[in-house]
Amino acid sequence: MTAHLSRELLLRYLLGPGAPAGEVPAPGAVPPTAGELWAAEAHLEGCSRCRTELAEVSRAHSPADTALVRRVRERLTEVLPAVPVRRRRWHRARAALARWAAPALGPWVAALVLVVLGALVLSSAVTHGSPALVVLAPAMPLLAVALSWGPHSDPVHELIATTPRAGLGLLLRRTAAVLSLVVPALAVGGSLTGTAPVLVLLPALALTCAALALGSRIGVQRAATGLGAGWAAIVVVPATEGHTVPAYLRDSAAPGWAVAAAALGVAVVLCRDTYLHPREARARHR
Amino acid sequence: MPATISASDIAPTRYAHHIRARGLTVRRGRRLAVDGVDLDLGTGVHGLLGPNGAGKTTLIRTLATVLEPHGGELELLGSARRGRGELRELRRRLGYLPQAFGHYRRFTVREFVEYMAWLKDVPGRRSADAVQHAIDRVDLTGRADDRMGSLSGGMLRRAGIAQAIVNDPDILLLDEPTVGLDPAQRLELRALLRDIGERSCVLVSTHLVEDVAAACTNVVLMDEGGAVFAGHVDRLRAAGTDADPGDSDIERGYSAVLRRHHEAKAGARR
Repeated sequence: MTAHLSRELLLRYLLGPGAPAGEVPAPGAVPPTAGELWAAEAHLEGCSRCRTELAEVSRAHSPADTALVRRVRERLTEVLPAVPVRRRRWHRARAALARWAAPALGPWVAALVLVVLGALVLSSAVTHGSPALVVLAPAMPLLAVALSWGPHSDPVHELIATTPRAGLGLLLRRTAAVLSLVVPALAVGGSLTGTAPVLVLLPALALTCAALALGSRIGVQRAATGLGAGWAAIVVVPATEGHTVPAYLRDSAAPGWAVAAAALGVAVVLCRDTYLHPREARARHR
Repeated sequence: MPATISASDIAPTRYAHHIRARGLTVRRGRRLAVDGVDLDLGTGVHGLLGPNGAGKTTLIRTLATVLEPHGGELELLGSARRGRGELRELRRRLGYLPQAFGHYRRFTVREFVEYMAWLKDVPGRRSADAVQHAIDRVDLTGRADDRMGSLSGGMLRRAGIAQAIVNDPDILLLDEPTVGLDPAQRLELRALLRDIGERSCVLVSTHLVEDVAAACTNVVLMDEGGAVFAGHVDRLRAAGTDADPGDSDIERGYSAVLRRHHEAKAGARR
């Protein structure tokens, strides 16, 4: 319903269908049916503008109702415990964070260690002349995270395993969380020591974010498969030609990857609400 | 906001039983932990009884889609789910409390239930209400903002039950939910189960016969991987004789059914 309620209908709603005709200042108008009043109520529940208008109408025509509502409100504020706004915001931020990084120390430490080790191995492989191994670069952090969050280390594994969200989507989220910690740390560490393992992880972070962002449109499985195939094509074809470090893994490519990862990360955050039932997502977009 | 009702909410159910199994077989290691079980469970509270090691937990984990059956048929909510989309749709309508259930100590009760609601695809705008309702139903309202690490065993179990019911499941699977609860809490849990059982299929595994007597309408009795009895509680009560060990008629029935099963097996072996 896009149209808002007329003042007359609001008045009818306020006074009830049984109100004497004299009180409703709309001579000759047909009184609304019960169905129309129900529809008006349903609209009021969802429309703050009409509620404000109803409050005005109520103040003018039915002060008794206004007084009653105010008394109820006063009584409720006395009885209900006050929750400070700051705490509520803090709570919501924590809940949002938990969806990316559940607060379990063991799996986190394991994933961080495995991802850093994997990055060191892969980057030394690249510099020592086997660039084809780089085909594993985007999959390596996924594997590391999947290994770290198993039934042996994650206390809630049994519960999570039976939920609809368990699977690739959750794995990608956790990987994105781990990488967004590891990549800046390695970038700083690498610039100090002169090594560049972070160059292997930047494409991984960008592709993980891309899979999540695309996944909200076409499903994470399809997105991850497509991106994986694309990456393999990009890596394998030049790797068969020579043994030099591929262009996309040189220092000069790092800012490009970082920008891509940041942009895709923003896209993921913007798309986060579409990770719903297809039905719910449709309802929201309508 | 006006409540929106979609076609699927009011669609008639196209299955006779929420859980239907024929010759269900699940292997754990080399052993057949569940061996040819037949089940027909509809709405109501069903008790799953049996001695330790009878295969109750394996059966519940299979129904909860943690384990894959190795043989036989299993239909949950009318679908023999195998596709990814189907499995996801089915899991949205499942509630499950494992026997040994872990938690993140740093979560508060509310955060834990909220996180589980999110994992179960409860839509965001309904989530806060659903979480509060689930916490209220298990009587943890006063402790909702306390850390999970600070709760007693009974409270943890109730938090586990809250996460199981947060998505209003059509199939609720509880593995030993009464362990660690004091008598008053057990009474409340039974009332809660009866309430949920009005509309959903609740399967409660327990080794406490009196829980079944008080809360359940139907009983499935398992022994050595097989279902040796399935039917109304009164039929189990009637199965016992005064000669069987037990303090109540349902305990005597339990002993009698198990004894007869063992005798029949011994007879078949001879």
